[in-house]
Amino acid sequence: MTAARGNDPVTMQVIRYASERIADEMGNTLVRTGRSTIITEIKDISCVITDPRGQTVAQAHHTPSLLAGFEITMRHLVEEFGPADLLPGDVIVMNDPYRGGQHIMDLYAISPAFHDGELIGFVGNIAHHSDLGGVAAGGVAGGIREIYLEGLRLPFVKLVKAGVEDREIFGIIENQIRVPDKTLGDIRAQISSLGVGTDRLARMFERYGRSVVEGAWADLLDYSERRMRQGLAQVPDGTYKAEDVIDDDGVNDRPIKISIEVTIAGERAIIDLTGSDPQAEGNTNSTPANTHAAIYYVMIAVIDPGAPPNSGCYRPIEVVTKPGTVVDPLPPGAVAARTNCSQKIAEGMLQALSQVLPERVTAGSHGQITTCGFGGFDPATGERFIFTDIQGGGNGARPTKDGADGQDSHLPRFMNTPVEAVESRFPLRIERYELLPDTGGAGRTRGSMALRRDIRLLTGPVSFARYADRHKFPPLGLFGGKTGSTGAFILNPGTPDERRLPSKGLDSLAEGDLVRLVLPGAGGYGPPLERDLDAIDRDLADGKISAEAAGHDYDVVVDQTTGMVDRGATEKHRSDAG
Amino acid sequence: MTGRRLRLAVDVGGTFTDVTLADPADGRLISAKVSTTPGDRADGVLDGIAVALDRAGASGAEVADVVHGSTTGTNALIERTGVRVGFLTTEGFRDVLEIGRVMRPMEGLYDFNVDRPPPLVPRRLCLEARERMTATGDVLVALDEESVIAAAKFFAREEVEAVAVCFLFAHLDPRHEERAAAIIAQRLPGIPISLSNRICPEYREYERASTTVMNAYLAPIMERYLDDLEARLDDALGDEARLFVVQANGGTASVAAAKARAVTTVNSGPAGGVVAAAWYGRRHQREQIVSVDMGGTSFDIGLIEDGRSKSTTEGSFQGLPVKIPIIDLHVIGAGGGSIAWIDPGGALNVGPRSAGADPGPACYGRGGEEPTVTDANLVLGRINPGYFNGGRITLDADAARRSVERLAGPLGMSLDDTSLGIVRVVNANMTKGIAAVTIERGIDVREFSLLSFGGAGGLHAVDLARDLEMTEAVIPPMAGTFSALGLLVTETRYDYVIALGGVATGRIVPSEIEARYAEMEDNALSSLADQGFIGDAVRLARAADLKVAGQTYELSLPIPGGGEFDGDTLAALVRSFGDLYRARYAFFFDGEPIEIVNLRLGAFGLRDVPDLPEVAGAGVDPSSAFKALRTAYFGHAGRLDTPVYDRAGLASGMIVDGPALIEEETSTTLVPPGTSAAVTGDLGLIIATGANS
Repeated sequence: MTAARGNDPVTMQVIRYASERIADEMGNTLVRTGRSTIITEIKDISCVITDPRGQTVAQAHHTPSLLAGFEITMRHLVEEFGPADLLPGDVIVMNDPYRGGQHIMDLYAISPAFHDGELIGFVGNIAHHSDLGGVAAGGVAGGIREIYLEGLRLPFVKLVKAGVEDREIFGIIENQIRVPDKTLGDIRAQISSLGVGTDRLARMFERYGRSVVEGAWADLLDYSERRMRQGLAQVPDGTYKAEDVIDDDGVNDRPIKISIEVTIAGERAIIDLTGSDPQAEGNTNSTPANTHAAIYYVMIAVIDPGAPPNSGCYRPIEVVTKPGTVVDPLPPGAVAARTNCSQKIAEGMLQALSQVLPERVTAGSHGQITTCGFGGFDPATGERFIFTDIQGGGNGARPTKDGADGQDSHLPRFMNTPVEAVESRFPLRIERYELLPDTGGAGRTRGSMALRRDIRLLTGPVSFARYADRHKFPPLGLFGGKTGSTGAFILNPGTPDERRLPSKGLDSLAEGDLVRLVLPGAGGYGPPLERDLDAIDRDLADGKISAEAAGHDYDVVVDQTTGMVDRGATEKHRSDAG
Repeated sequence: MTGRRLRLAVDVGGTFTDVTLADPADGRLISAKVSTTPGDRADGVLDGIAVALDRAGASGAEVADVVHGSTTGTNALIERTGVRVGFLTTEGFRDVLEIGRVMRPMEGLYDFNVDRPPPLVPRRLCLEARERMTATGDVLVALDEESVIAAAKFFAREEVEAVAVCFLFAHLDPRHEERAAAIIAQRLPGIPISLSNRICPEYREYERASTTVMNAYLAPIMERYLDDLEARLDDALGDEARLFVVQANGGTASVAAAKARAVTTVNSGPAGGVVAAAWYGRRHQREQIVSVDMGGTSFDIGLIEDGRSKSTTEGSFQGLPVKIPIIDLHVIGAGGGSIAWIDPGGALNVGPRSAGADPGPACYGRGGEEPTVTDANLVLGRINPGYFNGGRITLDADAARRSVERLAGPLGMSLDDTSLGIVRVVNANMTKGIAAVTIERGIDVREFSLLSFGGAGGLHAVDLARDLEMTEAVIPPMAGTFSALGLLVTETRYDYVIALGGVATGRIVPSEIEARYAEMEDNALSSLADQGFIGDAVRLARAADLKVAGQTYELSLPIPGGGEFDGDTLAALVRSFGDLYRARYAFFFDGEPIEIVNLRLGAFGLRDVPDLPEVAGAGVDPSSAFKALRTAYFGHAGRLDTPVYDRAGLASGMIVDGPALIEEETSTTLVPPGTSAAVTGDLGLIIATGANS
């Protein structure tokens, strides 16, 4: 690596990792001082450090979907706030999808950082809140038609002015939310995290000097850009196209098309989404920050996963969208269920790139994020509760490895909420949480299995807001690999009242009801007949596939006594058939 | 002073077993290094003890205690050679180990191919029992004993060697787990059973299950090993000599405690090394230290900040979470035995495969043919073939050359340059490992001293420090067996905890808190007394975990003052919580209600710590320690006549200019051209690298 600005490569690395450590420490502060389980357990947060122009220089190791879009957010912020408008101790919050935000529940908090009285950059974090008002407790209802119903939408607002909380704005927020002790506590956790960030950043400037840090940051962005350009240069030029669909938007029962055209031209890439469907009436629209995040994520992962992820990576990538489409909606389009769209953008990108880089992509992942919000009153305390639960999983098969069962995929990097954490805090009981056999798409390598979570309501009524997808169209296989399985929400399974609930919606459920969340199983890669028989044996022994499924998916004969593949009989059967 | 007075420490590594003997009667420290015996590691332990006693001219009847750092559990985990475990959990949660927390590894944020490590128990051996406790610790579904019996039968048929049980909310009410254990014990006599309520009584089922399963995975191996070792030590030393086992928290425990909690012995040897490094650093006013232990097989990296090793309760071994207090360590596969090889693309690689103790490097002449780092160092002239391990192992220089020749041909390089290439590649692996725990955590390694020990540590230390722009490398005395010396400075440590579950500080009755501490202290004192620790040899440290009401995570604080817990103590505790909270998280919002979550007690049994002998000064000229001239290769500087010094002949204040080699029995230190080593009063070597000066 060269050092254009007089810094040696060691200094660049030291500043890089020191900046990442600050971002990680901010994330740690947010998790440890937060109140809602979506922050403390699921860790649906992100932390970022930018230079004074708003270019991301370091990210904490959290969800790529929030991180990669921060660039867009900061473009809006620096347009609205010049250096003269900013003071040490300021905290600006924003959750407006039309100002570079994600959805209403994702609140951005950003502080300017100063050293010797001069603006040296910004520290920012994003936290998914368990409530910010709106029609549904938890704010994650699908099928909503207008942004106005999705909660309190804040433009860039100075919530803390030079270290002093603005009581009036806090009052406005408090009036709009159902669980103020949780939400305000979580906002203060965001403020603490920013305090740690500005403090540590100023200390870093004190240690190394402004010119050294700024030089290293600039080098770092150039370095990432160079790595991406070198990677792109090795990909054959051409235009690679793919499409994917969202099941529906929760309002109209018809699929919504995402169209992807990836053009590689030398060291550049142009991602054209203009052929995508018009924006949805329901809230499956992906905001620009989210759309860009999906594209940047796939490009880094496929072109050079080792490049330091920062704004430099994005420079060689041009994104073209048409306003008024599902990937670039106009107000007052609703957006809460946007992950149904952005994960499809990632899926479409991978399908397009599979045509030219088959060894670097994965088969179809579950392509959505199953997000549920439960709200009601806790009979033990009489107080309102809101539990937002996010389910990770659905890894597509990879060229040489199965999709990892029970591991999250692509844009999110969440954790689940432990059963013991759920039941200690909410009048809910998790009755099952397990992998479902015969749900991973067959292939030379197998897609990961679907997860199931059964949640019993110990009180009622409880509102059940949710959005999910791939309940109609399963995750895709690649190169002969089979599709995975579709997901489902099933109310009171195995009883006379059993019924499926739509993938996106808001319902009121009764005490004693059981909601079964079934996630989609992921797609397979390569022809199933090429799968190693030992791998099939392992799956049989572990109960990950049944003997019947082994028979029809992999065309093997299973020995009734051992439960394993009968090699001889299989060979004979295959040659007889062939 | 005669009778049982000798203290022995034994550190079993992948390649060598190191022993240090301390004789408080005359202050002597004697060390020995013998080959590790992978078939039965106890052979090497006994062998090493015999050598050390022989050198001390002492008998087994003079040994008071043996402190043992074991690698047995670590190896089983690295090589995945633990036992076949049957796992039993609550109905509906068979997949708790495989699902885990669903999180992708940090390194896999943008990399599709990075996965979490697979669970220690495959899905086929994970079974469910019909039972259920609630979050308040009440029975929702009574334990269906038939379901446990069915599981026990299945485990018996599958010939599992250990069983782990983790039921939901067992940390609140252990009855179902205990009853299941009784049922299983009946049907699987002699099979050890690990219960989550005993191993790790804290909430979050996956982390608790993971720790419990790891304990089960290792328990039979540790039990077999420790039982056998104890019996053989009884024969050799008499049964009055006490055996202590080092734990991953850097303290020692009795054999019984170690067998009951096998998971605590993982990484215990390296943990002892970090404790030793911190101790040695404090002797020389160095509080920022990267400690590296380079042996034959592994390279263990520890970090000491402000004079203290870092501890964590959110650590992991081999990527699997363990919720017990452990010293934060990073281990990579690099050492003297690491094998060099050429990949299909034609690039030179070193490790992680190791020749281990058997056959060992080619130069050991035990049938190894592939070139190792030790072979390369021998070809380069940096190791004395006639003085390896004090001459007890004669190295075959021709065999070393033949092994390196295998790579030199395909690479089209000279023998010397190929050997230097091997050294440089392994150095790059090691610097990357150090960077992972320093630079990549935002710690500027350039402000740290590199404290390097282990048999191979002295040869690479200065190169590593230079590559990382660290100002100095420190090679402590007895470098080749330094971890074993470190075991002698560890304390016996037992941790106790009482969960209050979150009581607002306003509702705390100080006298009740005092009573709970007194209860733990009674237990601790009697456990320590059983081990022979009484009076001044006992140290008790009270601590408490506090949190802001409504938050999930606590901060642990020592209880201020030394006396009884009263109203003033409580007020001081709350104040120090606010201070720590503010330092850690920037803001403390005054008036926030605070809760006490756990009361903790650390109980320490103190032993006499051996002192390092001081050597008198004799000027700066080291020529009195000169042994010989040897030609050694230094890259573009070519082959240089390099003076060799005997470390034992050096004296305080001497300066050894490079190029030089300083030999001791169990290790060799390379002082490269352009650097010089200053000799300390305890025969340590401090080598300035010239960086940042």
